[in-house]
Amino acid sequence: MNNILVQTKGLKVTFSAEAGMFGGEARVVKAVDDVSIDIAERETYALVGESGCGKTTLGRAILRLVPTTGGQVFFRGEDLSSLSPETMRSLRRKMQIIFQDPYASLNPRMRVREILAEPFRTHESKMSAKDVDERIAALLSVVGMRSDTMRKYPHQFSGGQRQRIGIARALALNPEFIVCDEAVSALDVSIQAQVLNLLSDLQKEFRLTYLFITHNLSVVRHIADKVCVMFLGKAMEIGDTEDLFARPFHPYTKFLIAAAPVPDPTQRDRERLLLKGDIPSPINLPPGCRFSTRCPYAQERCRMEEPETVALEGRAVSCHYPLV
Amino acid sequence: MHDDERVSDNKMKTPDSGQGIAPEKIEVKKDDVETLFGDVFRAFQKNRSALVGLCVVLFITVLALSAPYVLSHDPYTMNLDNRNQPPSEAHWFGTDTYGRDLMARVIFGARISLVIGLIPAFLATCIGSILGVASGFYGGKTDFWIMRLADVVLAFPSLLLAMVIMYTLGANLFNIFIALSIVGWASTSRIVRSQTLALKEKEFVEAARALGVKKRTIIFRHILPNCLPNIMVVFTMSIPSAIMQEAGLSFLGVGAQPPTPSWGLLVSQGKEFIFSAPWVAIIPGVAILILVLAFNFMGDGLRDAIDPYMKD
Amino acid sequence: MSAQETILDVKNLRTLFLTRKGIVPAVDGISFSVRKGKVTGLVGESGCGKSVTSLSIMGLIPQPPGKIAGGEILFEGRDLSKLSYKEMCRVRGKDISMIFQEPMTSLNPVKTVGYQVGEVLRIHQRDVADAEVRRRVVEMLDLVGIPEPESRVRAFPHQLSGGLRQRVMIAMALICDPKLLVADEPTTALDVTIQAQVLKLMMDLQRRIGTSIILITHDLGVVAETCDDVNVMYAGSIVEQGDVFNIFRNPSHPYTRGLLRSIPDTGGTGRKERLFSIDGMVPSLTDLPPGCRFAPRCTQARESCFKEMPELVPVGEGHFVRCNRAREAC
Repeated sequence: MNNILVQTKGLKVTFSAEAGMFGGEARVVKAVDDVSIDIAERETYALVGESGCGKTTLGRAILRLVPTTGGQVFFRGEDLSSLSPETMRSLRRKMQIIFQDPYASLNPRMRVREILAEPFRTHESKMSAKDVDERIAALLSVVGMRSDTMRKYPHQFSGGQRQRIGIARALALNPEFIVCDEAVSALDVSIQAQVLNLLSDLQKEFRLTYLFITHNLSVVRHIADKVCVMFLGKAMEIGDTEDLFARPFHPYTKFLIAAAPVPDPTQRDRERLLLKGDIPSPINLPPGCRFSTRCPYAQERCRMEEPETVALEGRAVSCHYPLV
Repeated sequence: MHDDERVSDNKMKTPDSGQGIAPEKIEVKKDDVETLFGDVFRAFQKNRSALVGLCVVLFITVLALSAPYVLSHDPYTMNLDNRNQPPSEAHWFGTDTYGRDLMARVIFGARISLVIGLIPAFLATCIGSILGVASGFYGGKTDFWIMRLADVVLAFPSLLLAMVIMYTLGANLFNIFIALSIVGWASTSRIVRSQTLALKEKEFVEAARALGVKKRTIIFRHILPNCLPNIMVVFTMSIPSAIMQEAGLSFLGVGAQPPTPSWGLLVSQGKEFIFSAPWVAIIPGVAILILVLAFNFMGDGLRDAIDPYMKD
Repeated sequence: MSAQETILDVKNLRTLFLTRKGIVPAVDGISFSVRKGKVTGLVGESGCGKSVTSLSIMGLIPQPPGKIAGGEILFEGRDLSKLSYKEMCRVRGKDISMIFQEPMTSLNPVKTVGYQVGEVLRIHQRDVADAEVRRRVVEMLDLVGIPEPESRVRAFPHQLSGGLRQRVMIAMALICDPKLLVADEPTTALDVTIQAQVLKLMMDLQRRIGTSIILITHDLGVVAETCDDVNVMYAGSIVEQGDVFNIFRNPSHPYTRGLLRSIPDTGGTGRKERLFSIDGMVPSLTDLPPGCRFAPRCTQARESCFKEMPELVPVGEGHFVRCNRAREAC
């Protein structure tokens, strides 16, 4: 078993929308509500869920890009909130992020060289321009781009190529941990395959740990070692990928897996498991289990009482009546 | 520290280890330099009125700069025998109430108008941009107070405010710069602030924060350059407004003082003779019209060039 | 295509865009038919021309810079590409309807949902009384599965979730009983559980009402679950077309095969193994290679492939492929 690299304990991120003009209560959105996950070294840990589940916020909170309102984040055992701003800044070299939108994640006014030089200018200001250029050329080569890419602007490249530039930027300072926030969701299937292969190769080459945030279950099944399924800010089920897909314990996991369209027309007439209703608003959380309004197996207790997280056959499940 | 465990040398491991990553053949699109200036240049090529505006401005500038060498009369020499003469061979625009060559006065007045247009617009844009970015980026109390200050400035009719300032400081050309800058920064700051708010949420800004880039650096490296197109448009559009305001102030007597040939002053001096010697007021008035229109066309063209670029 | 009645026949459609960089042949000579009462899919990745095709059919291509440069779009004996603006307006919403990808931006934020659905009815059936319009609107909202339709009629788009908004769009599209529905990536912007619901709704409605559907998507899973006929597009032309079962069982174009194999988890690649990926990128439409457009990326390309654009050849019952090597035993 590898060491735990990143850990969250009871992490909470709450946003408050102010009260309306004519009274009414201040609305509170519990984007992340008491989530505890452990990410081991060299692992690919997937966070899956639909809109509003909090997976993006959780990823940002781990990197301290959004303020947390409760709980803790540990990197190699150190509590990040206890660090001084300078130490945190320095630690950022080890924790990086790749974004979803290849069009918005690169500054359109900067050439690729400047974009890739920024990590060095921020953390290794003593490096000579020549050394920086060498490193940039090496980074571009690692992600499969030619070195003349440096001179150009982001808009001269396609989505997949820009994503590679984003990956190069994340790799610049030899990080240990990278959050891939829907990093392939905006790409076409064929480009997605290229980029997934690249990420996988890089992981082996540079011994990286990934937190892979996505809503695409087939990608998860392919690349992740562990999965955490989130819904409205809470972790519904956490477990090893193979097990989880083979035998989901939480109803939401089961329906999520079943909802994904299968590229095989002979299966189109299979029995469809569909959830009823809509994703509830994160502002008006239902009492009790937050999944109870959509869950076909919901019982009285589910609507009244929020379930605890229990350990079940090596997995963590938040459900009163897991599908064991 | 835990850093030591990790290989901390500065050598990037390149894939020459055999099982490394083979860079796939990635073709980059044909070299197509679409920088900001490229787009602006092309926009002027396409937009006729903007081009005309630019030419007019350049023409007037050249004329204004070369004034002492080109004109046969100077704007200050009085000739009381020749008052209010209509346009003739000797005086192409005629003469004013004191017999001074009107054309010389108008052309020298162009220098003033151009300077008045550019400098206060530039100052107002600078102040407005800096305050706008600070307001948008830092938020909180900074935002609150800057915006309240802007509200106060904007609540006054601009000419009135300028008049009050000129009255307090004393009416001369230099103080006009100050007055117009104070009046002009507020609307720029609003525009820049809203753009900053939008940019702040963009992922490339988040990426910079994730890298640990300092806030001030983010502002100068990421936010301001992306506000630049809009700031340029605002600048170009505030030039005619400054010119008009100066003309107004001078017309009302709280701007440039005689004998300075400011166009506003010329119109003011000519208004008494509007029926007997109309050219004395009308010609400088038309000059104001032409210059302001020219800048407006340029500004419009610039804005159109910027817009599709921003939509990118 | 099987000898069944077709409701739409696209023949050799060519749509161009005039841009600064030159003429972009977004759709370059495509032909396909939509069988009556069936779902025809247009599948492809970004830039393949599928959206442009749907907009051309609907007459929604902005002209300039776009232009339908050739071909025919035959609907009920009329060539849609030759209709006047007014005539096309009468067709849209009534005979052919469209639903779009982004329900938030496709609905007017300042008008109630009921108003917008009713508007379609009022435009095409001017003499219907207000009370009747309202009744039909509520009926439609109920049909598309919106809970409490009588009160939802007064809701504004921002008060509804993405899934509900998409249902409203479907209601708007179906209220005049169109014969053909063009759905451009209708579920791409939705969460996966909502997507499943909306797709099921569309299929149920389709079976009940018998509307023919053109479904545009990049998701092969959606295609497999909903389409009867499939047209695979690449760089402005159709590279493979046929019945959905044939296409998935026997994909004959290297691009189709590559796409199917690139899908993680089902493309046949084991977990954690390197995914199959098609080398290279889609060519820029202003810089198309002569010959087969896929040739530069094709592992089976031969010299002849680079010289001349292949024709569509049959490889099975109603199954056509634009590939020189299709008929060889690969």
